[in-house]
Amino acid sequence: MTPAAPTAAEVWAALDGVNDPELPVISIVQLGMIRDVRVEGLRCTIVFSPTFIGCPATRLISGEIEGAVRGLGLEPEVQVSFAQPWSPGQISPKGCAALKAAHISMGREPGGAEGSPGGLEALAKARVPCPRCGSEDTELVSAFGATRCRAVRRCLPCRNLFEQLKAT
Amino acid sequence: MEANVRTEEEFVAYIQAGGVVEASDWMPEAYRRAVIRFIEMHANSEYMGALLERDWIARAPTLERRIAITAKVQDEVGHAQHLYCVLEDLGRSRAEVLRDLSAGRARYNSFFHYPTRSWADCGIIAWLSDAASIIAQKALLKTSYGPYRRILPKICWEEAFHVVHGREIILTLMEGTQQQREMVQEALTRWWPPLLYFHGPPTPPEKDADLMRWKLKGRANEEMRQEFLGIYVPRLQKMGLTLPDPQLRFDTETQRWKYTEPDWEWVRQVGRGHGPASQEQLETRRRAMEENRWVAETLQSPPEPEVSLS
Repeated sequence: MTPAAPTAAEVWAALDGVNDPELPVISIVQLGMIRDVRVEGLRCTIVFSPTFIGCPATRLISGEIEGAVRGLGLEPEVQVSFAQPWSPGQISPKGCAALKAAHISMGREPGGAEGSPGGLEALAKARVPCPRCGSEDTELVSAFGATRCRAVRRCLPCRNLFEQLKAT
Repeated sequence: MEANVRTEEEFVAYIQAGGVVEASDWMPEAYRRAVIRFIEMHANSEYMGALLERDWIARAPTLERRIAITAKVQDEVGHAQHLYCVLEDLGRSRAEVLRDLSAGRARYNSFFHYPTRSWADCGIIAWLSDAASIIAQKALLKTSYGPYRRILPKICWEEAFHVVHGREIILTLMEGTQQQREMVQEALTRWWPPLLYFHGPPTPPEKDADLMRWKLKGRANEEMRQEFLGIYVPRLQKMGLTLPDPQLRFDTETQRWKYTEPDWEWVRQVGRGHGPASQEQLETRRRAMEENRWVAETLQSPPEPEVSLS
């Protein structure tokens, strides 16, 4: 008797062990970048959406997904998809908590409606809580942080500087 | 910080006990100046390093490499941006910092005063200078200044990603043709001395106020250099590369790396803007400032009154 092939749930669990290379406090699953996992026999298709087109980590993350899936004894096929653009609304509550602990904030409540980029004005007016003191009295310092999917904000009461994850 | 910290003595006792200082806290003027000097040098190094790599965006050998180096430049500028904001909250305006930088009055890491010559340089810079930066930045994770301390882990994570990117460039070239391997060796030979100076001259710990008194940094320069050599000399040699220093070796007796002592006075002069490419790079910075002035002016100007077309 041959052992049963790993299930999609096992693949999801394995992918939850792959962290974002630039934010190693959160997995690619918690970030909402894994869209679909299909297992057919010993083949596994993983649909993966980077946080933005042109994300420099796309190939690195794809390689790590392949490694995790091969570790289960499956042959991976990673499909990079932008059919449903990534937005911070897709981050899990657990992921939000991990990011908050790393002083990174989100502009919306987790699990909210699909976010769409609202331009500079919407970004400037967004109510983004300071991860240090919780105040929503924060100002936009720059629409872009170290990557396209982040902006830089400053908390006016406590003068804390922090990054905000945003749709691009 | 407790409201009763009002003298320099109490302040020093507070940070010596592991206390963290926030932008809104009272602080002695000498501390404020030390924090500004330290962070300004870090910020300018991030920014000038980014300008060095920016030149290679259009010359990257593949589209994927171009995306990666563009993103790296954005990362470094993002770090500078963040650090310039921290300086603003300490009373040092961004306009002043950038004016001093353009005028050649600011200091930044001597490493970024050298010219780039080939694509292999981009691999050496991303891999080895970012690795050296991580060692320096890890020594700051317990820095006494809170706003700086909170930014550093993210800077380290991003630098770690750059190290992967740089190492991959070097590995690809080393697995390529003889000519590509020679290109890497030639780049390493040129960049090795600046890598050796990267962490600065050895300073007696008791004289290093940033280390002992203000707890801004956690390790002495020479300790950081020893860690860098311990990790990277064996890796580079394993790749078949030669390090251009006949005296470089690990002394098992002292458990220290020995190397040819650099001319530290020359390194200081380089850091003050007398390096081989200092003026050329500052000129790039001045030109960028001039060419993009209209963007800043447009963003800062009040909105135009609405004009009726009827």
